[in-house]
Amino acid sequence: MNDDEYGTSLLRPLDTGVPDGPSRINVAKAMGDGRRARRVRTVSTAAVITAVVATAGALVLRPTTEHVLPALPPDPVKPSSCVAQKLEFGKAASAEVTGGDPTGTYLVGTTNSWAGAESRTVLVWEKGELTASVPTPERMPVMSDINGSGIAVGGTAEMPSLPFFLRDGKVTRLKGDGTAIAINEAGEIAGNYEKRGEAAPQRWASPDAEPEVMPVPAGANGGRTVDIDENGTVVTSFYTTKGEKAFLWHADGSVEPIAGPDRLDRSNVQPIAFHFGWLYAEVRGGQSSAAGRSDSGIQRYHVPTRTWQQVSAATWEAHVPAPTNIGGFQSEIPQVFVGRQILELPDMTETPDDGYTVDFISENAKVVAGNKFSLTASDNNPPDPIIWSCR
Amino acid sequence: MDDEYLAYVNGRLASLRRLAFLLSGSRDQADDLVQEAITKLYARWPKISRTDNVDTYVHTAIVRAFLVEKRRGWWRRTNRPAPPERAEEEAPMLRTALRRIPARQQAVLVLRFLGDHSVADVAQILGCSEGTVESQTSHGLSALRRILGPTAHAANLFPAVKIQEGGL
Repeated sequence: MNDDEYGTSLLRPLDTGVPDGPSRINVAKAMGDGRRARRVRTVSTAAVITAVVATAGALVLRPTTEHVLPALPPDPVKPSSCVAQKLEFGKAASAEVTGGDPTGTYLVGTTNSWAGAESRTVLVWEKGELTASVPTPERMPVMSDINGSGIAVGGTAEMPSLPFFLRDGKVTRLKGDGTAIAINEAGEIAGNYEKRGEAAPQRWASPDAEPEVMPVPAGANGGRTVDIDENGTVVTSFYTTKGEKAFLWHADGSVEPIAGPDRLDRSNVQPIAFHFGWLYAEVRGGQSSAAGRSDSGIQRYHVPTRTWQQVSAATWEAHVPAPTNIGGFQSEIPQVFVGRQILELPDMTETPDDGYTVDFISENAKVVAGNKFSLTASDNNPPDPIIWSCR
Repeated sequence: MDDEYLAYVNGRLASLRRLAFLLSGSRDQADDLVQEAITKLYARWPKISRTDNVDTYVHTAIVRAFLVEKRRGWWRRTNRPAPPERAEEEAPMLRTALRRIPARQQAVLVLRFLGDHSVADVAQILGCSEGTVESQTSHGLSALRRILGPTAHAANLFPAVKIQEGGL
């Protein structure tokens, strides 16, 4: 039996047709997002031309001023320029930066990020310089976040999931099962309980504490942690009978659903990450404006005042860095949201196969980190971690 | 122009969803892959629709989105909360084994033996040589054979065998 015959025979049982159940594919949304992507490409090209003209003609462009309600946190100033630099990672075949602390002093990452790797090392960069390269235990966890004390958290990339943390140059198991996702400056950790197919958000009061599993909201299941803020509030996402819904798990233990921008529960809110005092989210469906415009796109939510603001009608216009890959995508040009504006980052493109993720931005928007990837996942073009230093 | 796009997508949606599901093994992730692919397709429809390779373009978009996610090692950290799975939807041994082999080998096997693509088509989709497709096929089948054991040729055994996720 040759490979053709053997392969056909072996895999035939999987040829069971289309998966059953309702599809979430939204062709109208694809057309809307695709139409905006066409505009983005056109605008990007025009922006380059404008920049050249501005430089040549010494044209001064003033930043637009924006009226912000006093109760809402001010956004950092959008940097005027950034410099890209590859992050050193020693002799490994490849590496990936995955997160950083709010000031951007520390970045964390891993070597050999792909699933099924035979070895991994946790990498820590301080002010852009590689300062620690820590071998991982047998299960080779990947750290996804780090705080200003240099404590990083993460979990195993392969099943079954186990949570780990890095402290004082050593990678150690967190108590319990599942995985850790994010850590705040107080050392509070949020992650997921995962065992035997069950998944629910969980948190640890400190790296040495026992985990506490979130009570599942009525009518919901299949919950996941998204991020944790400096108040210890964990934002989570659950599958419910009405679709995907976001819930806040406050430090006092209370659970609060997040109503979408239209307040009518007609939209699905997929939280992505906390930045600049806001929760960034992808919203699908719903209409809150008098003009009847769709709420779909990237919006942000201010937890203390329950205020929504539109960031972008397009989901893929720029990156929203996150400790998970929620909302993540790979783009041909690196761009990230700073507040509600888009910061275009200088690329390090060497081949047409290069694409980018942006995985971290500091709270003052002066440090951005991400990775250059092969758009075709080519073995000949391994991932490269990048830091953008902005001013 | 939009009518042509809609006609194409509506006519192909089932097959695109099937391909994405064969790669990802997850209904939700399959929908994400297809959503991304048809969005890219619309963005480039004025150009792509003038070629004879629309199918190849969309299949390439799905496969590359899958490879990128898998390569990043975050595949299991789905960007959606997992919907409750019914008992009959538990992954069979063969599907679980397929998810354990390297992503490019997985893609080659799915495209060749379940997607009915020629070696040349697969090479174009993956951006590699036909020789690489042949060697990835061979390596992928060997890997599956190692995982599944000596009875792997007895294809008719697999539909009856069900295991827990990650239980291999």
